[in-house]
Amino acid sequence: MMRRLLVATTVMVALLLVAHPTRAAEDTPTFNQHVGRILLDNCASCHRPNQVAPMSLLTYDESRPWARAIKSKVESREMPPWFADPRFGKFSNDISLTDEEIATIVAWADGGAPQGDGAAPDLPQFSEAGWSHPSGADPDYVIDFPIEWQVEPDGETPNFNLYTELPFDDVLNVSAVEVRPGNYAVVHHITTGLVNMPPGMKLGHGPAWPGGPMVDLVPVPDSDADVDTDQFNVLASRDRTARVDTDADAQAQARLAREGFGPYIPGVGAEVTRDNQVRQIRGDLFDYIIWNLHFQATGKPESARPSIGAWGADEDKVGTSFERSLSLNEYTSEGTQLVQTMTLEERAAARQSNQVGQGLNPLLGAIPPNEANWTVTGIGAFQNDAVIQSLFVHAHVRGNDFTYVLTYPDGREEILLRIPNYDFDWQFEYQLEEPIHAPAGSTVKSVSRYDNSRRNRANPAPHKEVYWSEQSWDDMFLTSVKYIVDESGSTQD
Amino acid sequence: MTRNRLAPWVTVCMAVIWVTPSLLEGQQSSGPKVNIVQTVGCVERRSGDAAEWWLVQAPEPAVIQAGVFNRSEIEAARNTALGSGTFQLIGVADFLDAAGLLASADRRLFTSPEQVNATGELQEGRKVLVKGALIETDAESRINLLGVIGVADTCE
Repeated sequence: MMRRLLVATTVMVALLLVAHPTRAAEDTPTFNQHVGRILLDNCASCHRPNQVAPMSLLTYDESRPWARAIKSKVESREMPPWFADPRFGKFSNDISLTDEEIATIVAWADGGAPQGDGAAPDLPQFSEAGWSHPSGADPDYVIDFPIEWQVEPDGETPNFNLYTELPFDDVLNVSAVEVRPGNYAVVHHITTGLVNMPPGMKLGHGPAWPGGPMVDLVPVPDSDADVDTDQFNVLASRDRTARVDTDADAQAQARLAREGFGPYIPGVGAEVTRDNQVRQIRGDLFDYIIWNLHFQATGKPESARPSIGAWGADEDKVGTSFERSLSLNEYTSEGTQLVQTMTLEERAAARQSNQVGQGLNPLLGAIPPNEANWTVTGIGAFQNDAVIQSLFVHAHVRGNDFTYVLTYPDGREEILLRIPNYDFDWQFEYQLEEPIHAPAGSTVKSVSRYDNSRRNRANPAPHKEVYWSEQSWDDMFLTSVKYIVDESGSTQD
Repeated sequence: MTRNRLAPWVTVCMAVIWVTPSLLEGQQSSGPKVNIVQTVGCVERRSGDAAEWWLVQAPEPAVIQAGVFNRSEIEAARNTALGSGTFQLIGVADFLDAAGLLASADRRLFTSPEQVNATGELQEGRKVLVKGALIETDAESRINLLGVIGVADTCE
């Protein structure tokens, strides 16, 4: 009897021991049922072949070796990168994870990162060529930079401009644009714009920057031209749209027209317009693409050939709504209303000179060494009823926190976006989930703070004064409020 | 340029090289609904549930284009004669002193005392040059501020 009882007890204990892990495994989230979908929805835009992330996480086999690293990154909310304060505004491109999603990934990793039963979630369609349009479609139009740029293994390459002809002379109505770097490792940023050659200049052979390599993509004097090329006139006539516009929205539309195909900056993929909207690439107004290029050394010889993609807009959307970009061109900084102290001619001359740090934001003073709370506020006004669609800010490594505030015509203030911990490596255009109606007479403020102290871990030189230019050792204050004119009449004060 | 497909969405508007900028104005040709204006006046603070800021004794505002003040405008404002206009000033937070800014709307949610960027130009009794969006309703006229410069400590 005792022997039977012992055997039975042993069997029961053994069954319990076996059964417990089985029950635990049943509770553990699996890749196929739970985690795969989270990764595809929130991580795969970067974590797939030909993108900026160092590893692909599309499949179980690709993700399993990284399970513990994924757990660590999502628990700390370092990944997926997202920087908007959740108290203010909701954004359609928010890729941050919910607490529940993070708990699922943590439980999966802690439970041995099982694949699970059933089929893995279907992979979305991705562009095989590496474009990032959410539909997975390749662009209808591709403009390749004409040369493979060679990047030296060491040293600093200045920020420089090269020009290529815009290969069409009509209006392209597009639904999306994207600038790809050609080599994520070496491209710090690329911005593109549309311009015309100043009078008396043509595209020709010259140094990419003073002392730089010789290329065929820079403006050179045109000896055949018969024009007045004094310095100020050359600058003033850089593009045709700069000359006349007096209407604020027309100016705002012209500004966006000059942006052309937009930028490549870390974190930015295809810029897709909303339904019933188009973006116009004005080949009828501009003849050249200006490529502002900034490469960085990696310690080995590298090369990059950037490219531009454009996706066409459906014919039935053409002529509906055109996006504009509000300029926040009034400033207060460090408790001071900024005032223009130079004449127009002096400003033109300053821009022409190689004055360090004065290439951008010429009214702003330099950020002093070890200054942890250096402030600037840009302000702009809507002169017509508007619908705000997205918000963006660009700064370099001293950029610390940015807040967009809307003041309605009745005096109410609303915080549209707050980025409490700006990260130079991840610059998102924050797309409002519900566009915000701003009646005519509203103002927008970008309240911005820079940290040039040791507290800023990204700061390479807290002991140095910081000037304003495109170079990453300087800094920038660049805001963008994209909107459309509201013709619905729904925003009357 | 690679034409992956000869898409019908390519709208050939014109092939001219030089066109007038009015093309860009075409979609909004009737002019702005609200003007950007500039004027001088005396600052008045009216107490209520929340402090209100007013510009009184203001001459007729001039319609201007947005853009920062320049030295000659400020010099001219010092000598500009006062008038009889009254405007409520809104969007004032950034032009008050630090305490005024921190007490405004939700500013404390994202601003600590050491982070305040307040110009302090808007002070009661002062003569100021203001710039902003002019909002005219049946009841009153308001200026949503873009900039404020004090041009005299007293208003005469």
